Amino acid sequence: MENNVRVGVFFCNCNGKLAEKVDYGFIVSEVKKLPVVEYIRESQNLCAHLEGELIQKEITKHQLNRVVVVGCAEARGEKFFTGVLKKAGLNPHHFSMVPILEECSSVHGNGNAVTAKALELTMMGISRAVQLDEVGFGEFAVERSVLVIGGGLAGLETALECADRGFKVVLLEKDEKLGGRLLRVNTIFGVAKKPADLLQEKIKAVEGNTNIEVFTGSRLVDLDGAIGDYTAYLCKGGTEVKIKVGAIIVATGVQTIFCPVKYGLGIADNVIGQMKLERVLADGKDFTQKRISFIVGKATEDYNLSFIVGLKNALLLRKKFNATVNFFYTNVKVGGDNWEALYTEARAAGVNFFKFVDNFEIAAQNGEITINYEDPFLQGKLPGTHKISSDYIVLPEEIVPAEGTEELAKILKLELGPGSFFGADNAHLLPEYTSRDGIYLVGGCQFPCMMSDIEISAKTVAEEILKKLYADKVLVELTSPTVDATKCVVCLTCYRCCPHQAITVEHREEFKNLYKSAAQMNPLACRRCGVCAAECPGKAVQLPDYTDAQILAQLEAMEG
Amino acid sequence: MSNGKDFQPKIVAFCCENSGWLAAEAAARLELGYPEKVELIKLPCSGKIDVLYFMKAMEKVDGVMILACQKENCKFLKGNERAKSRVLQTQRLLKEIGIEEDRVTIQYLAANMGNKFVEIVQNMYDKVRELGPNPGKVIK
Amino acid sequence: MIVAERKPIDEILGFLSKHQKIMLLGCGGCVTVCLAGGEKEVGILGSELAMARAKEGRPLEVVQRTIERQCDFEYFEGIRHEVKDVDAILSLACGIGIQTVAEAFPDKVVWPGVNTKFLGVNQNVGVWAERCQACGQCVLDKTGGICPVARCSKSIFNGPCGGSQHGKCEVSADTDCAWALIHDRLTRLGQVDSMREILPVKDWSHSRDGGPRKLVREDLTLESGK
Repeated sequence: MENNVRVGVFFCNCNGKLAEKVDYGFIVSEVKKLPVVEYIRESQNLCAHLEGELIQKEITKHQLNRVVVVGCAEARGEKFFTGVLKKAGLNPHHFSMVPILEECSSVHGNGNAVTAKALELTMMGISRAVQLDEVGFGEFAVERSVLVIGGGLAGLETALECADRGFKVVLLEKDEKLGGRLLRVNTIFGVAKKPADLLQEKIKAVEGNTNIEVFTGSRLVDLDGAIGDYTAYLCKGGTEVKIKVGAIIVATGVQTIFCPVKYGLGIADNVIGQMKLERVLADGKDFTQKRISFIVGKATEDYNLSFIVGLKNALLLRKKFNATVNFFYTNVKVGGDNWEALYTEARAAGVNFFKFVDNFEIAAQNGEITINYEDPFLQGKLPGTHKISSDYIVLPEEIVPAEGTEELAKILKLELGPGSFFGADNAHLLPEYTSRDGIYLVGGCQFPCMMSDIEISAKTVAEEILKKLYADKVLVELTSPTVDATKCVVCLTCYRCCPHQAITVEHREEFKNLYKSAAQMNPLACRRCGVCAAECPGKAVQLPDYTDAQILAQLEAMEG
Repeated sequence: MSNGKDFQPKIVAFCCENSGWLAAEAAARLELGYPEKVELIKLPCSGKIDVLYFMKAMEKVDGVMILACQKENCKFLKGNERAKSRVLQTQRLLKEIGIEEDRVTIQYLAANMGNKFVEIVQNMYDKVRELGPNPGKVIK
Repeated sequence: MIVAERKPIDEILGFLSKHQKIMLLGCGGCVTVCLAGGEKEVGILGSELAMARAKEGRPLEVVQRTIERQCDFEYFEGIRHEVKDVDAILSLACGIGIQTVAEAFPDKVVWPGVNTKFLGVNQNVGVWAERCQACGQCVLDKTGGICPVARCSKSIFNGPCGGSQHGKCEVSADTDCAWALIHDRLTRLGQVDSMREILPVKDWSHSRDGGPRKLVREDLTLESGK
């Protein structure tokens, strides 16, 4: 804080809403007594037309360098006022807002206590304003290239989206050829093209794109750095290649585990997994007039994919082969684009749907499958066990993260979420986000998903990267925590506590301490949570706009 | 200050700006009332709460709380976990000098929970009111 | 690093019972790193002491300072004027720092605020483990970089005792048997045969058994004798 602090306090009446309960006259007279307050104005409505220009003139005229607005907490309002500060040549962070409307008028009754609280809040706001520091911008050179891990549909799609936006792309595939698991699929719900054709198209587009370099038979083995400046170590056939990239996209997908034992069945020709059904259909197997039972549920309740894939194939078998199709389910899961229409169409086409809960048994004998089950809907009219015979039974595979996911997570320094997938399941984060900026997720590696999700994710991620790495040098507001090197004892507490891997310990001659080292927060990787500042045992780390001085000043200004 | 029925505790609620703070705004929009002597201080994340802030606040008020995002739903992934551990740390410190640990608490809520915000604040207020004035108050 | 832990609060309050104004002095060295006595801990303990005394109705004024290191005299110069105004100093430094404070301010009462535990490593946030006992004659060259003096409960040489079970020490299930660690590491390095060499009886006179130790390097000392 510099010595010459000149605070301007602007009271807004919100068109008379505030003065109803709060005695502004008294508050103004108290605020006037503060020596740091240079200027006070009461306004009927600070959001009104021309108010911005007026405030700007007042800032200049009275040489104000801190602005406190007493009124409401409207987020739009905050942007408006910081804009005014900028126009007046002040740092927008020299601004403090006191939400009397939200914290007083709307939630308390009338009386002296309300005015007393409004005064207290105003004093806290002014005390905070006095402690505010300027926040500037920093320019950072970044790598405008991305590494895409996984050459399946998600990886191909993302590589193309990123290349379209001018990024150099390195596409990494652990197998010898691109395409991934969808190559083995017969049809994709909602997509007219054959998956194999679709993939060939994408592969051709990728291979023909000069911005994309493909590494097949390769893996990521090590990683250094942070967003804009990652060093990735790739291994191709025993030789290690080091590349610099600005961002990394994980598109490693899923793998399926076929486990008929869970349903009391062994391996047999007529016991088919959903993935295998896709393959045999693609190979042209004939199911004319066969009896086929689908089972979806139990082990696969966490995601919708198995239900939709089962539904899609039930309808196909019914229509194409005039097969008798029985569909056993625990829950109908049709919460998605056109899924319910698919369900209705299947019913109309004559697919038989049976709900089961507990009493459900499958037996396979002499090539025939018998299902004994109790129908919870028919308990009244047709109680007891029903028997249904079929020629084939289709079971869902369990969908689990791709092989090597755990090792990859370790290399990327990411924690795995539910089901050991990469996705975090956090309402505050997009499903494409990870705990580290610059590392994103597309496709099944987040969580089992549909092709439409892949298309959306690929675009989202490409746009996100473009937003962050928009040029060779990017401008970032330095609102990430600052470190006072004279107080930093490089104890690594902040480094270990950072949820975003945004902290490094740097050695520089300019750091005035025993070690000439200090923890540094990468402004590109830091998300400004302040966990590091709260953990620092030396009070060396301070988060701009929330420094200890600013928070303790509020506590100090508070009445006991 | 007396320990009688007219005792009105002072409480500081540190609020994560992604949940508690927005829930307070939601409460305001719904015009739900709560006691005047509850002061809110905005933090970027509950993980920014510092044992020192709790202790400094307890030098002059009767109870402190941190309002955090729902468990496993911190915008910064671990902030509310760290906040919880700092609450436990503060409770230990207060307990060892004979101050009731219930004067410090962490509560979880989401941004749209105006009603829950008021309920949490009122419960804390009532609890601290029952406990009486903070015996360790340095600044009276 | 030296690892320390704050003393029980009642013990500290007992030390300070007769004082009205003290200086709570933190250290920016090891005790900051081990989260026991840095600027933040000074702030927290300062609050706690003030509250505890306010509760008793006998206010205590706590002047809070943290200096670079308490094990060097020069760093006390910045606080020497303020020290005059306090009844006593409560130091959060390790035993070395506390003694240096006492030596720097011979007329001032100095109280220890922490228990100095050991020389150790920070395994994770909030977890420390002993690694060195400053025995004065390092044997790590012969033991695969694992110290039998500090990490074996009995500080024995030439292999484990009968209390070693499944790699753990009989003293506590949390304690690894140092000799099991040494054996495993030497095996990994392909040097396990070196364990056949009998280590001679250790000369403990280099350690504490020889009385307080002092180190003077003539090639470094200043003429002023400082």
